[in-house]
Amino acid sequence: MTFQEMFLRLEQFWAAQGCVIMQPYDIEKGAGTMNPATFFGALGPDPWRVAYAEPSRRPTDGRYGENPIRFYRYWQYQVLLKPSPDDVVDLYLQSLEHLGIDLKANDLRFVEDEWEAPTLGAWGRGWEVWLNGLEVTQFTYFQQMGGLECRPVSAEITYGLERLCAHLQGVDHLFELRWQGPLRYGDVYRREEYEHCRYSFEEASIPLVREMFDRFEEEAKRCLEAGLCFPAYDYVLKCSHCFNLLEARRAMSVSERAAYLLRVRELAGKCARVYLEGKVR
Amino acid sequence: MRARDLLVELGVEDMPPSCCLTAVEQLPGLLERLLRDCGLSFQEVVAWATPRRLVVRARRVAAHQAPRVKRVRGPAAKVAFDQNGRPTAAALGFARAQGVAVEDLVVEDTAGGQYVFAVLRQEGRPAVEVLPEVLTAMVAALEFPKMMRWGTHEVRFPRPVRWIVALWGDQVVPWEFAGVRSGAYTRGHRFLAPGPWLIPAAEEYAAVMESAKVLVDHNERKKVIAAQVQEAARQLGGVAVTAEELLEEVTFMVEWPTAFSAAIDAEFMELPREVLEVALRVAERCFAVQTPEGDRLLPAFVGVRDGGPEGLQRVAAGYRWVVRARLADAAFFIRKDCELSLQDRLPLLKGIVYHRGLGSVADKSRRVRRLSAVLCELLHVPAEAARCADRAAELAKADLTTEMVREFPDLEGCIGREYALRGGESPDVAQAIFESRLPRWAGDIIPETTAGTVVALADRLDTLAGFFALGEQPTGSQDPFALRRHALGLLSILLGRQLRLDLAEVFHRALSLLPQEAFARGKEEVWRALVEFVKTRLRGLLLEEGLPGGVVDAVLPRPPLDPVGLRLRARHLDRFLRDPAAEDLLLAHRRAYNLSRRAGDWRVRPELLQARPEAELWEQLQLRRERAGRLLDREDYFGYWKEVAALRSAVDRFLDNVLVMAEDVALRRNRLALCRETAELLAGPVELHLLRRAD
Repeated sequence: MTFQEMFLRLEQFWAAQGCVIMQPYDIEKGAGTMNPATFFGALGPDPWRVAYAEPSRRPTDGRYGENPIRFYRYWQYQVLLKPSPDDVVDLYLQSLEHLGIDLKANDLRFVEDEWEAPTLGAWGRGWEVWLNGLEVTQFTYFQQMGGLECRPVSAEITYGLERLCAHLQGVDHLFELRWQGPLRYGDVYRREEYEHCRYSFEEASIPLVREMFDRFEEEAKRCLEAGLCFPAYDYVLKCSHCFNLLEARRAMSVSERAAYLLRVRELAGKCARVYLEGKVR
Repeated sequence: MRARDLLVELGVEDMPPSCCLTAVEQLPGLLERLLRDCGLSFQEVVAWATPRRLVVRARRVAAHQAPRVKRVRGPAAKVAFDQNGRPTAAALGFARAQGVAVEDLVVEDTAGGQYVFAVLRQEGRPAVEVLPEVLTAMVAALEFPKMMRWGTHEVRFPRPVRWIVALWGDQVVPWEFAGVRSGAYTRGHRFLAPGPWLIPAAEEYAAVMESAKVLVDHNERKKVIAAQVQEAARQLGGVAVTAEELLEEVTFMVEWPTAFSAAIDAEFMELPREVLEVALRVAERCFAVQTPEGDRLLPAFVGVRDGGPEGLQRVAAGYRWVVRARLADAAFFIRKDCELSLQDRLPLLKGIVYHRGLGSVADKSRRVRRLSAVLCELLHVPAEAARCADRAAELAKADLTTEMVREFPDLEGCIGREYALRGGESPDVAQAIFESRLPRWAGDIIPETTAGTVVALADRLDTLAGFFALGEQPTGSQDPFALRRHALGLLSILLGRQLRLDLAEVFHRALSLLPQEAFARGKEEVWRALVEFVKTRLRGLLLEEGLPGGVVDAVLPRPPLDPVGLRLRARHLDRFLRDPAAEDLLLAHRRAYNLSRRAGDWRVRPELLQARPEAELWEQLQLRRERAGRLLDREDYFGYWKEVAALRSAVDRFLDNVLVMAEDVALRRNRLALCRETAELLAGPVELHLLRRAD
């Protein structure tokens, strides 16, 4: 199974479950959850099923490509099912089998995880799913999003594609993953990964990033006043990425960090409320 | 119909281990109470849990509720029957209202005279009909630390409920919970034997689950896991480090355990031992393996998979790979952390809020440092150790700013020690930084070095003083800042290291260092609350040691609040009470003490001692006081009481022969004063009148 085949297989599987198949959203984000298709999709009463791949950027998780499994950026495959169906865990297990994982011959575990995304004002209950000790999926029943109760509750399944692929291909380092033909993951991404790590930890201009945060926040507020939750939310994502960069640069004290976090959360909460108000109209 | 077992299995998506544990703690008691309340007899009730099921079984539950007899009081007998003993309209009306024949009414004596009663016999309903209500009440009463909603349901439970087995014997108890209907089918191990599996009868549950590859009984499962883990460690030539908490957690993570072992790459064995242990435990729920002597870890670990032997090597290889990545990450963090020394990190502490009103962590460090200096003085700590304590107090919190502690909060202190050494601090300072966090939990080790002890004490004193000033003292079961644990830590350090300190005085000093805005109430009031709080904890510790409550209560009120000294007095008093002289002491004391309470603060004036027995008592008193005083100085309290107990005959002679309440005011006052001085001498360093011997 090549890396690109994983995308195709999951797409196939979830399309058959009635999911709208989407492509990544075009703004940096720390997790697939932040894609508007999930953030707004989890709100409100309407049924919604969606699946898409999403690159996840986590500046603090970068290891210059040295660590075999921890990266600045990795690929998530994200599924949102609203309301969560009764057989959602079975569906997930079937999807793993569809990828060719022999569940009986491996150790698959659902390990308690009290998931929380403080910048989104979101939390849920669920698990990290471990495959032979490796976290390969995050499985969450959303309880709140944007500070609002989720009714009905959605199930979110977030696959870590590189890790699942590493399991299937039996490689020691994600750079060795076969992507397509003779091409390896490292051939495609090694330099990019390294440069982003250097940038996030060493080069990002702290004053500029701080300023960008302020400006993006201003613009988000202006959009919200105009009742435009989608453009506003784009700027919330940009704020969130600035926040992550500042964290990687260790530019914030603990109390300052809490204050930045709160600013993003308040914006996300307002986006959620404006979104629902618009639906009512 | 004969009694049958009741079996209920709630099939859930993987529950958090903490919820499994609270469920099995609550279920038996709940079901017993509910069965009793509804009149269904039963034998023992047990509960089991796996990650995917909560099970409760009651043995031999009756087929029917016991019939209930209810007596309803009607009119007075003389109203209900006429002179000829015939029922009146009142009796007829009452009988009709109760649905019984008038001739079945009975007359009984009550405190208010004779009354008519209707005896109502309610037939019991069949168990299968009553049980659904019982089960609904049972799950409604369950309490969990964490709950959630799912799908379109409003019900809250730790994880979604997906199937229910509810059987009384071979009959399904028709019940519905969280939108799931009960049945007779369960599911087996998720991958080994998924099922569905029919449970033909409640009594056959255990046998079916065995075939379904689920070890339901968690106690049994825990034993199996512990044995397997140790066996795997033995094959590696070592002993597994099996902390109870980890063992319990693993028990509630698997249904069919199989242990495996895997190697740790040699390069990572350079990492501090605690880092290896925590990385294995927290990140992978695996067990470290140490040498039989326990002096170091072996380069291997043991894990437990949920499943059988199939593919075990592959599983082990997977875990090994992840552990390697984790440890590589730890090595990365350490490398990155070491770019800044602990000293360089101190300014960062200003940015961490310790608590609203108590300033930043830097503020707290400054207070701890000053309190350490106070303690060094009070404890006569040698200059070198005092310098070491000062440096350790300054650096102790710096590791809070490191990546390692952010990643592994359990490693606070360990990381501080490690980085202090790498940063060129002396080994004594590094050790004191580590020890400043001790004890971390009940039964943990306490500091060994003087410097570490001082900083650990100072830290806890400041924490207690600070939160009490804010008015955040524990109430009932609420103790969000773990102040009870801090107080117990403080006491166990003092008691364990035999350090003599008057906590009442030290708390004054700790309070004086706090910022003014910390005080939600007056300083004196805070101080009194602190002293009482610590006394209560000390009382608990002394009782745990086996000292009788009546003895402890006589000892504690007397200052100074020096735990070691108070414990010593309590031990001596307890021992003395078993000595034959104890009778003398207590009798003499009681007689003198009862009168002494009227004595005000008059002193004995020897020139007024007229009668011979009082002069003799006074003379004895002087003599014994001097000798006993020397024993007191040596803290030989046993010897002290032995010495003063010999006063008894002199006390008896005085009180039997001399009228204390003499008419002459001067004489009376003098005799009362003599009583008081006698009682005081007899009691010595404790409040003897508070002694209770019953327990």
